[in-house]
Amino acid sequence: MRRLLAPVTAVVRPVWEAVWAEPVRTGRISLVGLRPGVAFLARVGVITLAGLMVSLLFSGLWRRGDLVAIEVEETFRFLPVALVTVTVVVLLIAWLLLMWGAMDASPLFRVSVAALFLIVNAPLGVSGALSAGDRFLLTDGPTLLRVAYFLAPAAVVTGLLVPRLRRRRWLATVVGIGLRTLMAGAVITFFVLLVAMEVAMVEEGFPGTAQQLLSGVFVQTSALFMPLVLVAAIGVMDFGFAVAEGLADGARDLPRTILLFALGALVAVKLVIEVGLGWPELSGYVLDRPGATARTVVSVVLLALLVWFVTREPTDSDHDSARERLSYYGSIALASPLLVVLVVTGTGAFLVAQLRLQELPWLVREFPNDALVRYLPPLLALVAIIVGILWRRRDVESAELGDGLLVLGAWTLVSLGLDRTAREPGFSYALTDVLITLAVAAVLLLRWRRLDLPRLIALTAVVVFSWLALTGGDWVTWVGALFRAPEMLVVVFGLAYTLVSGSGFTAGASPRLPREARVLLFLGYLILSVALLHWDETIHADAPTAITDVGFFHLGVPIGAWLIGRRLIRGRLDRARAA
Amino acid sequence: MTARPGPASRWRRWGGAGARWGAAAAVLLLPTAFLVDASAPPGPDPEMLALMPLEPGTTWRYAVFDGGRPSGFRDRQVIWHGQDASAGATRMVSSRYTDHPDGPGVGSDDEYYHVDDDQIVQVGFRSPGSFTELEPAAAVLKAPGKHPDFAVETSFGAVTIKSRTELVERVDVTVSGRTFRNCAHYRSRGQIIGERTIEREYEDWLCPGFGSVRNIDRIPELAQERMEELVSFHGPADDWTSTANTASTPATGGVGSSAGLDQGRTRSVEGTLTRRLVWTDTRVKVGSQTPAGSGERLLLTEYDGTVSSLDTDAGALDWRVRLRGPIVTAPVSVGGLVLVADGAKQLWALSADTGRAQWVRAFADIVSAAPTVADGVVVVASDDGRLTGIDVDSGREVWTASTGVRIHDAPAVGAGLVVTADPAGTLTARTVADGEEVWSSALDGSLGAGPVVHDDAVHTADDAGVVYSHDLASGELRWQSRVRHYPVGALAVRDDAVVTVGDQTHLLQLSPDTGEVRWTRRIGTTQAAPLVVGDDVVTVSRDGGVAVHTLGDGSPSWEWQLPADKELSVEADPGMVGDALVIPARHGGASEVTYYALSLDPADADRDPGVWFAIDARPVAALPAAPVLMTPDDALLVAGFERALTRIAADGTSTELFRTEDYLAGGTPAGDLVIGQRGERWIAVPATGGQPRWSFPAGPSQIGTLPTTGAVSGKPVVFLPVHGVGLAAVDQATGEPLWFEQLPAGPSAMQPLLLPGGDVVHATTTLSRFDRRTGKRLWSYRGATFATMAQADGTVFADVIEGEDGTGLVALDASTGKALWHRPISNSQILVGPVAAEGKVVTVDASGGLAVLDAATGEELWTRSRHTGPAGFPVVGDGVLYVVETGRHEDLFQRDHRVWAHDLTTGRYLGSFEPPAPGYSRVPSQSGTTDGRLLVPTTGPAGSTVLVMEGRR
Repeated sequence: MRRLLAPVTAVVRPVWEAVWAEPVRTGRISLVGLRPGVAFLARVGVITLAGLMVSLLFSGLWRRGDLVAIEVEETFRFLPVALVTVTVVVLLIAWLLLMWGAMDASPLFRVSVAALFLIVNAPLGVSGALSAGDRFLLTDGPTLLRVAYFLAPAAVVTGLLVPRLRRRRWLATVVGIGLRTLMAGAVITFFVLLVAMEVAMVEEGFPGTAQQLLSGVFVQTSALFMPLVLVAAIGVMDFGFAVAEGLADGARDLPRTILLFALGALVAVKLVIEVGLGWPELSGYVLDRPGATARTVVSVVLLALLVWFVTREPTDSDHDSARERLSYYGSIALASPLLVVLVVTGTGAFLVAQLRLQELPWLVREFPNDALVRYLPPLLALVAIIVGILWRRRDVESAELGDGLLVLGAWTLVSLGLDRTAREPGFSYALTDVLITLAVAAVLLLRWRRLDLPRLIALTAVVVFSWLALTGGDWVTWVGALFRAPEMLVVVFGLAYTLVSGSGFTAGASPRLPREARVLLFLGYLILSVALLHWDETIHADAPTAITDVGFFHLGVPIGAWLIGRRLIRGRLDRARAA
Repeated sequence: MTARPGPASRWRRWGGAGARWGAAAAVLLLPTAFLVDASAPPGPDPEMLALMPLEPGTTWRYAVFDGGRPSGFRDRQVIWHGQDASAGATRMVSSRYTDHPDGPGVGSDDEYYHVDDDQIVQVGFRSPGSFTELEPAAAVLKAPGKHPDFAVETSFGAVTIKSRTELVERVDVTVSGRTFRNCAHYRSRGQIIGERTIEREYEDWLCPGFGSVRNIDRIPELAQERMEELVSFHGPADDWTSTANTASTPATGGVGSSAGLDQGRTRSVEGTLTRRLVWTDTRVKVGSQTPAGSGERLLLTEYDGTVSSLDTDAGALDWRVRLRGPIVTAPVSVGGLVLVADGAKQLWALSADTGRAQWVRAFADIVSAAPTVADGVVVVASDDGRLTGIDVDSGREVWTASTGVRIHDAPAVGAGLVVTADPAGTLTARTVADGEEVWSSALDGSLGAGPVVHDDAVHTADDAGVVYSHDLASGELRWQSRVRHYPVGALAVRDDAVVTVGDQTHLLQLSPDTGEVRWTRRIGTTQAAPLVVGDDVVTVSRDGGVAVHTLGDGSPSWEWQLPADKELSVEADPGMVGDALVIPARHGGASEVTYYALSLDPADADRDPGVWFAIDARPVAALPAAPVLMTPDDALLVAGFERALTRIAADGTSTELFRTEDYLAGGTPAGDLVIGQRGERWIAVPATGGQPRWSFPAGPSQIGTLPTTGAVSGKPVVFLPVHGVGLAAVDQATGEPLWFEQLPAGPSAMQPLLLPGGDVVHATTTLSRFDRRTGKRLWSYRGATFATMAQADGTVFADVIEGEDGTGLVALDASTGKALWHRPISNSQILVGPVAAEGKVVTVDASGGLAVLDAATGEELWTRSRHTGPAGFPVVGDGVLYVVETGRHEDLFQRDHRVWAHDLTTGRYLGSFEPPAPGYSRVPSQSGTTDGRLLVPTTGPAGSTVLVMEGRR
């Protein structure tokens, strides 16, 4: 039996290794070696995150109870009453982690997180300013809330002075502990007070406002969630890539003839499904959308040429690190206009709320939001190209990242440029996959005698990868549906996979961002983002499919192309040659 | 070489890890649990609420017995609930008797209740035309666990009620064939103390979830014993109808228009769209839902939970019920029922005639797609991913099925099948009769538009720009067509065409047989669905531009802009009411929505168009306490509640003219002066402010009394009523008296009426005409009036009390003072007299009865009945009569305060407008200008405002 299973095991084991074992080994969050306090907070964060993700799977249960209506961008959504308090607690945990983590980080991070606290929570910072009634929570609660609102970030920023006390270490320690206690106390007071004031208001006969305020926070800060959605969109590409690599690794020991036939069969099946069965759709697209067809063909050819150009030299650098950085840098760059707008409008909201202004400050009103959204991404793409070219000349590791930046920047610059035109010609993933498969089929037909094993493996990996990746994750949904899994299972799986395999950078450390800070900041950000997702899912808000599509097209496609060129073709051939 | 850890070591390690994670979990979960528990909102005593359920929409029907004899039925419904902090738990319960025991025929009254933590109190009641407050509010039920017995003493007017209520027992009660468990039997004994004292005994059986199932009201002295027994109940707790309910129930039958115009959602209708505006209806805070229609009824569901039926033929609000909001779907009219999904996961079937609930059904989640009706079954998609079939007559569940995901778009029906499309693009057809799945098919992309069922096909579009046609019976794909512009929103389908809007900017027509794109036309950016009207395609752009293209070749026929004085925003789909296409348009960023009805009948081209309102909102410093006046230079004279007369110029500049300690009736513009009463003197102050130029005795301040300006020998004069003394004419510039005529002491709450020749008519105990030069009385007619008078074509019209011809409206020959005709009016609205114009006289009484009469003969031309009295004076301009209904002034947030516009000659409904909230403290408050504009005080977030409303056609 073991013998019979051996070939299967030989193929499946590398897939398992590539898809799960290795990513988890290198990419999970490890709490070992963290300071006890930080580790404790991180555990609270992990439990919160896990609880949120489980809750995401059963969000329908929340809605069995009483619902309260909230107005979200001129439409009504229905929010489970019980969710308000739970969400406040989750926000409390998220901000506690973020602020605590920031106190271990460089001044820039400290100030940024402190400012973000003020901006994001601006709608809450003035909540319940009611002088009605004679209850302490209603009369003095707003003042206390405001004090806590300012005290928490003030404690984080004041911590900058602690290093100046290094000659008196005991004093520095006492001040450090004191500031952390002050910060934690202020954050806890701020959020608990929100709940307490809400209860007091309702008891006094006033309608509750917390749900609308929280909704305001989430609507205002939805841009914060965008990088995570973009990374998740690229994650589909990553996962497909891991499967393809695993399969390729498993095929290393197969005889050439078998692999040749297997590849031929794979290509044939793929063409039958995509071209044969999908002919009405495909032909209709080609005939009805000549512009999009031409754009797809030209884009694929140019992208292939560019990838060939940047990957023509052999390299043995760390692709995984470069890929992870590309994903995060690209996501942040693509989300940057909205993040800037968030900061600007959030600052405006902060000023309006705190200074009781009648209208937004001039700078916020006149801030060129549209121009920023229109021109900043292409500008950043241009910067990516320049940086990519410069880095290609530096050390090996930078050169690898430079290659990726060059591909990413060039693709994004052109595609954003085309999107800005009035015609918006469109792009077909299905056609792209067909073109890739046809190209492989052509190579197979023309050179099948001369294709050696490494090349066959590389081509197999390309065919599998393009199939998995260019369906945009539909296959995950399809597999999930087979097991009648909730629709959210796919999202939760993606988040969990990111948590256990895409968190490798939290194991690193640098003077500006020590490990403690990385773990807490990353967990805090994830909790904040998942809290937003949980809120949206529970109130039945629209899914962020548009952001996912943008991320997949602008980031996923070029990163995928670069991975094909660097890892699946050049990397494999180089390794085979070296072997 | 390292040694493997032993089992003990491993256990220690795992134990340590478990302890660390356990501690973290405990620190997280325990405070969370505490906070969640502490934040659970406190509420009124649940047992008390169960015994007297007051959930919005709850409807009871009682069989009434008077002295043991059947006396018809009483329908009772919670029709309104407060929304502000102080009135958050206020409920208005409306009762309607089919045969009132106190008298023949129907009768009605409304009661206001307030729900406190451990008691429910009645704060007042409203009988037609007036509200009566109970002082203090009277407890009708207290938490039985804490207060099994309680006493009440309250008063209204000159009547005092004293009673003591005791909980006699908890008992099972059988009423109308049903046994109600654990009911609380209360007995009250008390006295009604008025001109005489009457003993009264009242017994009530309150059952959990149902409220009163039987009550007996005994007044031995009058030998009166009235009993009511519950025969049907429709509320969140239960839905029950007994066989004893022999009252007529609405018949089910044809389905009216709803979202998508019909139940196939075809958005196709016969007729020819015209540019003729039939009517408009403007409301505040309604959201912009697609309206539904049933005959000439406009059925609207609004975000705040309000459901209303407006008779667009007569121009009357039939009924209005406020359910739990927000309501996010359009209503559906089926026969005599209106189906409405509320914001509390319930579907209500309301009577189309009365708004009373006929049945109610609860769901596990919100219903956010409009229900669909076919073959006597209502198909409802709820947000928990279930589809439920409900018998439309009884409200009973016929079948239920899982859709897996929530359905946002209204299901479509045809040929006994109901088709749903989920957001992911899965189409499913089920039988309407039993919900059995017949077929299922998936679109390539997510759902972009549809489903639409027409004849034997289902049409949809996905978000990748592909339009699909499936066979309705089998689900087989008939064709799919990729279009250049992505369809968004909706499809309109007719026998020979499929129409859609692509990318919000292009109109496309496809062949229903092949999917071939026949033509594409560029249109203004639109968010509303296209409609096929006859042989045309109608689109409404986002800014309110109506564009009509020929269906055949797409050639543009005509364009028209919806009239408005503000920027419009059209987001919701049009609906159909009668023969009119109704387009909802939001006013820019405001929360007002105007429903524009455009006729589909070319014969309407010759009719006078409907009216829309151009509004200039002018902030005022204080709530007006008297009708606002407009000066010739467009400034407003506002007598504020703080007793200051303020002039507000057209540019908003505010000038306080004078202040008084007494009642302030307003001011009369007189050239560069304004004349008003301060203390017991008339004073003339410069219109721009300053010290009085002159003054004249006025007598005690009197509500509604104002001077009138005129001229004697070309010289401006002012006619000044001097209360209880007489009438004077003085020089306008100097205040020098020209004459003074002493009159018998009597009521003179009015303004002298200036006749065309310059003479004036004034009244105390008699109506008299006075010579403008000498003050000599030319004729007199016995009778007093408390209201303004009107004149036209040599006739004076006055609402007279105990006059020579009785109480009512009298027409007097202005030359002789002889009565030409008389019309009895029993309940005149004090201070609001008749209005005469264009050969007609308009009168409106205190209970809202409106009558338009022929000025020459007194013949009644048409009448209308309103729920509440007038807020001020009827205004006539350009053949249009404007009447403002006061609404329920006891509730700041009520929505019955409304401006109506009717054709003066025919009474045809032309338009209406709901001001944001009443802006008055006394009636009359609303007035008009000589050129036919209305001055309507209102209250909004920014404070008090006077709306200068101009009806335009």
